Amino acid sequence: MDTAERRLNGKHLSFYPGCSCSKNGTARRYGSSSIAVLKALGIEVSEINDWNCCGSNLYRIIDERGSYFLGARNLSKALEMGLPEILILCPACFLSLNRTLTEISRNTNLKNEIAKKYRVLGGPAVSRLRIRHIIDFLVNDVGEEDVKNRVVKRLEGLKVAAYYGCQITRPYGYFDDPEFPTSLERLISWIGGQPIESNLKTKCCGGMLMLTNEEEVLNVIESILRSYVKSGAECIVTACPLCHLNLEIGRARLSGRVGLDENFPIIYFTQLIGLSFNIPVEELGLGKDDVGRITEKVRLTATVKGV
Amino acid sequence: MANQNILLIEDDGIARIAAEKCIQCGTCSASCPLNRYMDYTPRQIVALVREGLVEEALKTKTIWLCSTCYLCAVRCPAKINIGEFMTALKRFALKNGYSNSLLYPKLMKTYVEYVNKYGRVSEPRLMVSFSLKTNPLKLLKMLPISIRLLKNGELSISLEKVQNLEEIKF
Repeated sequence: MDTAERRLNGKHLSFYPGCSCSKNGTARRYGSSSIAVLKALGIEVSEINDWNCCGSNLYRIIDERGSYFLGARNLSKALEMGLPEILILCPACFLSLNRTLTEISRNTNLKNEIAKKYRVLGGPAVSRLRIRHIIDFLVNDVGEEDVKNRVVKRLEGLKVAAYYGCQITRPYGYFDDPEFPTSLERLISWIGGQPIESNLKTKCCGGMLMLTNEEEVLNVIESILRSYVKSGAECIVTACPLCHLNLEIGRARLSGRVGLDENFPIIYFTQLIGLSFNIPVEELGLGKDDVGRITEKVRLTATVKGV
Repeated sequence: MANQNILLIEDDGIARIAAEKCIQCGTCSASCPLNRYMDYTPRQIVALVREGLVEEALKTKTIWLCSTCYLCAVRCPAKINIGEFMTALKRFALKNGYSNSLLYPKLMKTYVEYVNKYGRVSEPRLMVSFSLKTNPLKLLKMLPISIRLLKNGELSISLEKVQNLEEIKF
């Protein structure tokens, strides 16, 4: 057992699924595949008890104070569980909870008011809170050696393009460059894939505006999809529930126009890692079509290369 | 509006900072993914606020087209978080009765209602409630695909609510 593994094996984090990645959410596959991948790496996660909405931007515009209370309740539950390191998948939740923690730390009045309601946040334990995005955790804590050691099926030569979307690294750039992050490309290469670059990998997908300004947002998504078609990618991996949904809508509506196969695999990056770890596809929530196309491609590439 | 500079008086944070520090270089406008659909560019919005033409800024389409992707914020040479500046304008527009008829504020209000009632949100339900309020025909269009997704178990309309709802009353 190497040092990294000794350090991490049995590590226990709290897990904030948020509405999208919870079991009834649209991104439940992101949730289930992430938990499966972490388990395979010997990391334990416990869902935060009775968690609530993160207090995202939609809420914060109407009620800023309320949004910090919403975020704070989740933080207090994690502390009460004795698990101050919180793992998050959804970039919007990640931003909200980070923002709440920042506000509590710098605004004493707000902190005191919040601590009246959620007492644990008034104590010294607050300084132990860490809000981690799963990409950050996998790349910087688990690391190259441990990820590589878990790979059962190397995705040899599969051309994978990552789509980060906006809020994983912006505005704060907690763990990677705000405009040109590379963490996902590193992960892709560790599991044998060939990372393909798109210059629009952190361009905003339009987010919730899909519901209110469909035409404008579809135009934005068209430009994003075109850049991926041009890149020659065989699979797009995503890390955000909303980006994923918008790209899927784009694929269904625009595939003909942009020259994209309507069955082109667009999956969460954790699903791809899970595939390379040989985790059962049911746990990863992967459709037969996606698995078929990816494994066929990998088999062909491996045969040609003689792997 | 009685006091054109009321935003700057009330807001001691981002709006004031933006108005004071902006060098009008236009990097934010050039970076914005939705710039070509806006009636004023982000740079112009800052200029309006600085000149005290707050009401004009609050009536723009621009503030509601900002998806807070923060590309402007990370590129701004004066280090102004334009995304947060737009958020402040949205909040102010709502508070003062502009924008009530727009779609995005209706979406936010539906969202807040869900969170206050259940503590969480179900995206499919949010979409249905929002569409019923704004464009019921769209639901009809989405019916076939929704039924298929529901049958395949790819879509869930169940929503687990927060058990202790008292804890989220503040």
